[in-house]
Amino acid sequence: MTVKVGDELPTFTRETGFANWNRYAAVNDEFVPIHMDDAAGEAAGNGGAFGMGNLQWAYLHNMLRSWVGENGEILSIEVQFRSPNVKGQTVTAKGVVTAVDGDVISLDVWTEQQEGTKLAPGSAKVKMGK
Amino acid sequence: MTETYLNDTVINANGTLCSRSVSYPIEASAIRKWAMAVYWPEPAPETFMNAEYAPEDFDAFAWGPASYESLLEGDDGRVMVRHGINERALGFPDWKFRAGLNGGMNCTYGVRMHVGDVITDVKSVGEYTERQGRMGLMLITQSISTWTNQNGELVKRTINSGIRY
Amino acid sequence: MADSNISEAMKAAVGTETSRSTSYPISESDIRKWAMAVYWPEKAPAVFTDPAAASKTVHGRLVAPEEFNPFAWSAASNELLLKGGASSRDGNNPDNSELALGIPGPGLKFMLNGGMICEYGVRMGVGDVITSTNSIGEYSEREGRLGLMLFSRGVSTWVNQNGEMVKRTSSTLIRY
Repeated sequence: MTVKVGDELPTFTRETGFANWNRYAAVNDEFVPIHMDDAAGEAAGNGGAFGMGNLQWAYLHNMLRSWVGENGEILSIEVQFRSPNVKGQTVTAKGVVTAVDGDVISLDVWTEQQEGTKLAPGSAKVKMGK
Repeated sequence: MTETYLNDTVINANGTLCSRSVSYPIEASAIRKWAMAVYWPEPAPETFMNAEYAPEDFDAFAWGPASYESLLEGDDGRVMVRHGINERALGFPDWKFRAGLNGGMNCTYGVRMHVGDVITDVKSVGEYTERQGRMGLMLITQSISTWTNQNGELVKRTINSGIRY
Repeated sequence: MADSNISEAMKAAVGTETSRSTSYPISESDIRKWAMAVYWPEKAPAVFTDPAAASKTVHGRLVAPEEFNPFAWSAASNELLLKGGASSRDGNNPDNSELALGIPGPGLKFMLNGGMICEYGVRMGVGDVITSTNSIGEYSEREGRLGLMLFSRGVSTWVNQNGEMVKRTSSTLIRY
């Protein structure tokens, strides 16, 4: 496969809510009131409970991992959590190639909700599997 | 109004083996996290943090078994049935209930679970009975879960009761 | 309202190594459950759940997803590197990084994960023991949607039992 600037990655999509968040809380021991309790999320200014930034982070990794293949490598990734992942959103992890330098591929990556608002934008560098 | 839930099929099913699940090997990490969760916010006892053995209530099948098979004819086992009792495959009536409740559990323990143990869970039909209650005629179900370890020793036997109306 | 939540003591602390943690050995069930959670409700790839499938990959063994956290729930050891540093029993205390420094925190009520930068080295796999060394990065602040917001960075470097770099992460904590 020849990778070129502008290529879009196959996306990774999940409908999000307590079913995902609670599972992630269980494996990461991330039992934080703002992620478990609507009143605590509301008090923090987000209208209700919202999902972990770490889970957005995981979804971005899932997308990259599937694209680079089993022998590929995620070299680095950077993400900002801009907008909360609230209940009922369909979150999609997306990526687009911004540079190809030898076998190192640079990408813009982000998660967005169903209307296209970016939740967690960032960038990554990967190596494709042989 | 329903006069009885209990036809011959339901009555005669008592004792029928329904499904067999085999766990992944129990790991120290799973014991530690279980103990931390059930003792939280106090620290869990050292015995469990060191994973000398698992708490009695430890669920070796949390997050799913390594394998699952149905023991019933007409059930290919591709869909894991909650509580392991496939009433449809058993030929039970297609009851319509408004509500179902967990009626309780009754558990008898044998040997302890340790790191490396692989647990087999065989689920079987227990006694189905009925009773008139405030909400009408209630069906009281029992499913029996028998856990043994890789040496065939009994780990526990649990009778789960359900109430439906 | 405070003009600034960044004290002189906080400024002076930038770059200080505060704590070191060593994980329990990573186990198959940790990796399996992690993968199940982050791929849920779809099935997790077999390379994370099936040792036989994993042994056929370039890694030759069950490796963890890159973002896997071997310190979830507990660590085999936690060491504070500073005199006067204290660890809070409450992992959700917004002042935890200053507590570890042994200095007063700003006492803000809310905190958010502001983002992360991560560089990866070798993969983590079953049996690996990870050591994380944590230090304090820069502080900054600005007016935002939720009032005066304090940004702080925590830097952690993970190595495995062979001293190989696993990852280096700089995380931004937003407090308000």
